[in-house]
Amino acid sequence: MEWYTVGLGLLGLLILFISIGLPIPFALAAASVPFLLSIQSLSTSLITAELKLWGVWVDYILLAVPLFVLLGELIGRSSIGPNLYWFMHSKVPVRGSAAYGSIGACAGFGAVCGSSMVGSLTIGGVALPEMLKLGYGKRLSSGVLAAGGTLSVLIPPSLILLFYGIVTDQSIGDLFIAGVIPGIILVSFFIIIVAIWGWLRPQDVPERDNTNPIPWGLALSAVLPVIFIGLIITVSIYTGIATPTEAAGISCVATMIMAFTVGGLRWDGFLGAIRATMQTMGYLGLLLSAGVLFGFVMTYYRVPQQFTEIFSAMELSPYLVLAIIIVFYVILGMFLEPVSMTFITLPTMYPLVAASGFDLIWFGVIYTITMELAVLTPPVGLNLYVIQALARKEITIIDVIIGCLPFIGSLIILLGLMVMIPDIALWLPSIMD
Amino acid sequence: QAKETIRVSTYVNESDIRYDGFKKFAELASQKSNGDLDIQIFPSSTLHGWSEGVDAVQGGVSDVSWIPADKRLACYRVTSLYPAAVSLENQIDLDAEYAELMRSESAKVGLVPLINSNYSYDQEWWFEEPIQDLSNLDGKLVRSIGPLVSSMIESWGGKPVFVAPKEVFQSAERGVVDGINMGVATYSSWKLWSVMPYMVNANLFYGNIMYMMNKNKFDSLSESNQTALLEAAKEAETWLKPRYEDWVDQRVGNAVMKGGGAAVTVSQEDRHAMIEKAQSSWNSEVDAACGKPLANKVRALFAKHAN
Amino acid sequence: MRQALARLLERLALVLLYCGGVIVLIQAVWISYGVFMRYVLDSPDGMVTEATALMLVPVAFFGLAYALSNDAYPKVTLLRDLLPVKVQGIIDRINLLIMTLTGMFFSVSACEAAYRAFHSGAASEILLWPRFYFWIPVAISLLIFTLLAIVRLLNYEHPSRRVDAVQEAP
Ligand code: NA
Ligand code: NA
Repeated sequence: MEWYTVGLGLLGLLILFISIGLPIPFALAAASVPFLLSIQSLSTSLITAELKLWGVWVDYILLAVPLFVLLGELIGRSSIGPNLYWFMHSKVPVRGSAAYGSIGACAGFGAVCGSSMVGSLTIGGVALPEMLKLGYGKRLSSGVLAAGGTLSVLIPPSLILLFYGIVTDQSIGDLFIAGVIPGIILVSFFIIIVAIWGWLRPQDVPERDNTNPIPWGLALSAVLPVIFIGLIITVSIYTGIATPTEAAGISCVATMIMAFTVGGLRWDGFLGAIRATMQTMGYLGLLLSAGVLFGFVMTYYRVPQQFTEIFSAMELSPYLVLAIIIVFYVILGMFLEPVSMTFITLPTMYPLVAASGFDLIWFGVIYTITMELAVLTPPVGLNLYVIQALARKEITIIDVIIGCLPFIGSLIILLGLMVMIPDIALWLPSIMD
Repeated sequence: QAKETIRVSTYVNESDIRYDGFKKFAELASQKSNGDLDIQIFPSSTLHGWSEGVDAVQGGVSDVSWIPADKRLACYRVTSLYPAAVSLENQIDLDAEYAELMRSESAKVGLVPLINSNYSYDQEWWFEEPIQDLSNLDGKLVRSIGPLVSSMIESWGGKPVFVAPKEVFQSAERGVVDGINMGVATYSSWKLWSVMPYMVNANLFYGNIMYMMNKNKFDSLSESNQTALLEAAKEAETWLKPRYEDWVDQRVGNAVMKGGGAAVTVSQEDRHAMIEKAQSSWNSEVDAACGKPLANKVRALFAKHAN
Repeated sequence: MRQALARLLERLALVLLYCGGVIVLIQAVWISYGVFMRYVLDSPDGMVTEATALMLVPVAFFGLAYALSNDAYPKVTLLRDLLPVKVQGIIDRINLLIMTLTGMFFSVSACEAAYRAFHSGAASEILLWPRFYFWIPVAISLLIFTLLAIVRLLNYEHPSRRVDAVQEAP
């Protein structure tokens, strides 16, 4: 089979399965398996599946996923999370404070976590049910949280910038610093979007409500633990006490203790947190493995490689090359998951960028923004599904997608700004030298 | 005429000089087989993870993969990284002889040694602070990569710590560990220059991560294609050796220069003392895993190429 | 009979789920203990990194069957919801069939892996724990998932009818 037949066939089958309502992990697997069987014998295909099931999950970095999910569930099911949002709603004198608070929480969490999926899961697990309860529109709530999670990969540390640095041979320290200002700009964009949204659709952003004010004692019993957990994570990572994954473990244990002591968590709430965590893992387990299997089949037929080869043979002008590369990644990002995309396509792509005379640190930030888009765009958009799964009774995947649209727009504007004013990324690293 | 596709899986990425070595191998194999052999290279571990080499090759997911320290290859597991003072002058022959010694063990699990990837030239220790004496680590926390390295770190008074590859940069930067044992190839790709700029070049090991081929696949090739493949492998190794060493030298220079650190080389006397100490504790493991006769052959080989 | 089987499988799914929960708790506590040993007592635990990473494999699959019984998989039902009820029923059955087949494929893969792990490698290079420790729970999780999917396919009723059934039952 030719590589383009396989590429189009895989995508066609995937879209067909998704559109008839087959759950995404199974759609990815069911689209991959026929093509896998046409290039490998059944017994080899079974071993390929085995390697993907195993290989994806024997990864110390992913250990942070269940730990942070459990942390979020514990906060959400004790009184800490609800009271925190009650506090923002009744004591913070700004309309939409809970939405801004969620963006702030995502940005703050982004400063310690490098994965956008973990960011969405952790903050979303607490924030989504509370925002819905307070009367925030479901599209706004899910959009803020799905997009907010992507701040984790632009604000350092970032797994995408890390992998980018390894593949392209650039300084990881410089890349991290380059992400700071674009990250801050993006946070401001998100805040502006919420303000405009509230102005256009006032019914989605509830008025500040002080008829039922939270007593200060209760407010402190929610705010202090959250600050304390934030400090545990930040201090342990930045002073070298622990690695990021270890910080997830410590903060999870600390949250458990506080949820039971000051958060009034009871045994059934604890069991509920465990069940919810394992249910999330239940679909992530297959989702990630199937996603990697899908990427594997593409790689095995050398689809991304062939595509990039044709592209590099065309010899276009620098800005046209850049524009095409960005469009290429936005489109590919609809179907692939960022980490596999980075290792599969970047080695062939970045020399083109360098040959066109662009700075590779700057392009690293551009690339990361396209990867933020990738997790927000269907049909394969991890953050979309992660958020929808947190409240699947109330919110449809279409709600999440529509909610994300303005945030996707702001990412595209940021891309434009970065191209017009490269110093957004390059100024900070240049003064640090 | 139908081409024979051979999929080669490697962990090195495309900016690594060893990737060029694989490209050379592919080119030579195609040439020598008059186009019969089509070698496809899959870099950056895209086909399988670090420890899955044996499963991937046995199951046919890849035809040729790097083989990590795997329990199924007991003797290879304890000798492919072995404390020894070896001369790399006749490295290609040394590697070929070593591969020959591993041949029967490999055949039992359906593998054929094909390409040697000798990394003995690239083994450094990196520290956050200046260091004079590697054998006196004074309680320093040092990232280890396996049981042998751990036992050495402990015997020098340090504490071995395991840090996952993806967390190396951050934990080194924040000071979770004081030092790491890592070749400069990996060190550079992780950009650790400013983080751990003090290098000790100790040369304490023979290290060879072999690439092995599925035996059934190899046996199914025509005799002339088998010869072409083996010759291509050996020529590619010879082609790569000087380039790899230059590349490592350049990176060590870069690393020390960019990080504003310093490089220390362990004196020959200290080096031999450290190696002897490590050997004496490791040899019982080697005897148990390889059986006395093979263990002796392996040791004799390293003695023949001693430095 | 089939209802009883479904209840049994759902109970097993819950057991697996809690097994996973226990492992997550062990991971959290062990990691914290590891940090304490290294940072406070200056004597690092050499097992914790690999051991907790290996435990993640079963954790990633223990919740599989429970997620199915709770209908927790992300999906897009926009198009399906527009179709007539009869067609919806057919599509739902097709989906369950594909899920069953996918489950079978992965189950066979995991069972083979568990079987081969008895004769073959250690799970990692430092800890020489055998791989079947981790493959067996994965295989069991996938098998229970597949059985549950089959039972759900056989017991299928359109959601709108299921509501009626519940109302008529008492
Ligand atoms: Na981050
Ligand atoms: Na996407």
